[in-house]
Amino acid sequence: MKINHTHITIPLAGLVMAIATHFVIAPQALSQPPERRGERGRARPTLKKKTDSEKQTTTGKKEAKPITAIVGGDVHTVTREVIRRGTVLVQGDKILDVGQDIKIPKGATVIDAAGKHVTPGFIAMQMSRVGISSAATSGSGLADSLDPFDRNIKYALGVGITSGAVSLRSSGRRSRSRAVNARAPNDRFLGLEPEELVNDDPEFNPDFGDAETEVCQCCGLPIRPTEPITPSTPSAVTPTKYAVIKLSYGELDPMLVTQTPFFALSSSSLSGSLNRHTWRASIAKARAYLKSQAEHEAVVKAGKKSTPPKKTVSDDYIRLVKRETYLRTDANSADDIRSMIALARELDYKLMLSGVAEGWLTASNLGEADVPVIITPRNRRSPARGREDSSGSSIETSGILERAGVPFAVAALSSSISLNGLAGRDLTSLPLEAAFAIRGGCSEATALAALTIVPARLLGLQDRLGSIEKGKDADLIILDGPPLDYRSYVETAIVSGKVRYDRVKDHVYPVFDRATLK
Amino acid sequence: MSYRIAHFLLGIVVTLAASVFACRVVAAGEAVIALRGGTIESGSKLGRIDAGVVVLKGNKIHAVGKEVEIPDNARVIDVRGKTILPGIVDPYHVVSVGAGGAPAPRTVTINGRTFTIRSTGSTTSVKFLRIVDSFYPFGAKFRPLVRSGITTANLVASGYGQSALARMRIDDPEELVSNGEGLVYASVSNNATSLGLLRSGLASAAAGSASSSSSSTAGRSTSRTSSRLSAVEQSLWKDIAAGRRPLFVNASNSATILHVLKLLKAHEQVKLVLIANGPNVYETLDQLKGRRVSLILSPTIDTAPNSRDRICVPRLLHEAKVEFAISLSISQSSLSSSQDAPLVPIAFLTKAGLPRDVAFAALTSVPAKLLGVQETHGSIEPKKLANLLVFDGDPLAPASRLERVFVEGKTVYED
Repeated sequence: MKINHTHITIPLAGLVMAIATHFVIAPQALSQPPERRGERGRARPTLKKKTDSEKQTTTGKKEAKPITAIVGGDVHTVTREVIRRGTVLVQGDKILDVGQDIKIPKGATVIDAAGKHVTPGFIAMQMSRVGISSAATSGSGLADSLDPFDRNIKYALGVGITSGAVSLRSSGRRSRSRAVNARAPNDRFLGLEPEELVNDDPEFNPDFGDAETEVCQCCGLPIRPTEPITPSTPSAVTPTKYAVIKLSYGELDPMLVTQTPFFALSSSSLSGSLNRHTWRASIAKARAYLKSQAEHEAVVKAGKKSTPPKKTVSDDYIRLVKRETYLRTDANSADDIRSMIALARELDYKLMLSGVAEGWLTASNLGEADVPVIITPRNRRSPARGREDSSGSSIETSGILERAGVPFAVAALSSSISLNGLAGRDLTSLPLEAAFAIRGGCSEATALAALTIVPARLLGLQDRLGSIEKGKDADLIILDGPPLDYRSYVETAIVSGKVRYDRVKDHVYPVFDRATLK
Repeated sequence: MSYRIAHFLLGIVVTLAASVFACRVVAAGEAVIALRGGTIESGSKLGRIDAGVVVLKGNKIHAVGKEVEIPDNARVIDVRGKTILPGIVDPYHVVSVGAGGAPAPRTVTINGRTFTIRSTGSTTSVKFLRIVDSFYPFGAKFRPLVRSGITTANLVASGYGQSALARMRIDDPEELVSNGEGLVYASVSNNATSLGLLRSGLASAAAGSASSSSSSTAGRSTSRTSSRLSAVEQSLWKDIAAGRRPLFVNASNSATILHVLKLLKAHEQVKLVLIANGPNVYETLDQLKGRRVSLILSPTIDTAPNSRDRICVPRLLHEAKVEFAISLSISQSSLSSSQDAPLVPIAFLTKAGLPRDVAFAALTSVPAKLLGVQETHGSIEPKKLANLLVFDGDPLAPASRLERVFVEGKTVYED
């Protein structure tokens, strides 16, 4: 036994020595702090000295928060003009100041953005499987399911998306099967919506409203368009749950911005007389509640006793009726768009529409009714046969909407990052989608607004997100070119005042300097 | 004549029997063993002693030092050129326990018809499991642990429950569990169910203390919320909330670590022991610093997330002044592969810059402290339990073999 040991000693010792030398050669890799790993020696926004003020904050809590200054870039404020060679000061998680002649405080961390472009972080109106573990279900579970280390966050930050509205899978099996109807993003095939897959064939997807009357194959008699034979159950519809999250990689606290930013319903829950009846009844109920609540408060104010009214509808309905949130639903055909507008006018709530393939035909209606829309410029809808010039999608929708004064946000073709940008169809193509809006005739400023301030307004977060203004959240991106140019890359993404993405360090997208390429 | 001879012989037999019996009494009560001439890595303030002596008396260490008198009745074992280490304390050894984890299907009768409702797992609440109640010591396979130098282990299961402290007396399974009233462990992930478990536990503790002091309305509402917890659980959570016992949380990913830290911000007294893998700790290191948290790691060199850079997380933790213990048995496969030289994984860590004494402490005194047995375990000092390892050379040299393992004075393994 003993003799054996000495024999084994030699190869084993050699093995450990080999491993040991591996570590001796590269001790830095083991000792480097997380921030400095993986730099690949290339010109990038330089972080000058790790602030004195930062040290101060750790010693005394009442000291001012550390300041970061982004200097020398063209600042696209979105709500105001573009500031050439401007400065953005960030303190804590807010924007302290923005302008051209701003004194940089002592001890501030300076990010050199000379020759670069600074814009507010982009906001995705439809995002899924980013920053939330897959098991996330609706409601209270959301806050516990956030995952600030989700790799998809880096992909999203890499194209400039710093926040977004995520749809949550509702719990339970029954509602999951219904999710296809609600066009939940989980049920996509190859990043396509189910509708997209069948939309090209008009035989598959007859347009009951205005298509030519079909003929029965067996008897040759015309088939009159009717309501679906089995309408969905006439219970009060519950909206699809959404939440707005920030992509503050590595930090949990800033992530959850708001829950239920709007009242989301699929168009199918609002079509058909039965569904409409239920919808009207629910809205009426919410109004009745508000009225009796007001009466109750008046009585209490007068000093008399009164029992508060019983709440028979969810808070979502009440907020909708109070015009605090939008109803978000989808409508593509001109008839659907007009009918949704009419319904919103009748029941008096704020409406936003997504899809809007025939928005170019109904731009004036949308403008008059003050209905903002969410468009996907590359989405296509086939025209009805024989009416090619007055139906289907148009490449000019974005320009027509702009001229009609209809604010629009841009959504990507898919809401998730399942394909890592393959074929340019997933969420990471969001800035490209806005670039296609420019191709459709709208101005560059409008296209940028469609990624920033318009979605912020639609989410009710215009006080925090969507533009570079004093006091707003410090969600900024620094790009190496104009924001909607297909050649531009995001160099740095700042979310809640901290650098969460660095093109060189994270190496999610190609790293090179175009200026040095020949 | 023959009678006298017979009497004489009988006398001899009686005295022999008596002396044998006397010897056995001594042996059974106070066996004295002296290990002489070895290098002692005491792990205590005595430090490292070259050519020292350890005297074991019964299940305890009697004396340690360079100049120690060896009692006359001692069995002397010559360990010259060898190294004596305190027995390794494993703070987190997962055992499989029967059907404890998954709740059994329920049978419900409605209108005379019987339905079986199978539990789906995700929707059902996590069941509290006391290891000592469901652990079958005779079926336990602890030999790999002993061969790796583990003399004490904190037995846990997946899920949620109360651990049990075990001594590795594999020669006598009935003696295995030394303390069934262990610590609360929970496997946590970033979802409402498992985080809710911690919340309700802490809430019940807060409620318990509030109802005893404050108004009756508070007491009424709290009794409703904590009614789901058993009395055992409630008292355990009360201890956790007051910081009298640590809470062992196995965090499934980096996000969970942040969620747990956030959750505990409101409960400053809680002493958290996190079980996490290296990359997850690496990602959350900045937020672990300065918190009331200790970590339990596996002895591995890891790869930084989303890169090929190698990291030595124990070293980073040591540099960040975060307390950590190492569990050799977290990864069962690595345990069985390294039995001939159980501390080779530790040697990797020390080669990557982890100080040797910190590495030894992470195997012995730190886990002993986390488990609250630092008075009896974790170092070679008089009056502590005689849990010792004898290596035939430097324990971190790959050629060294673990020769002998003492558990409470008994040799349970000999090469």
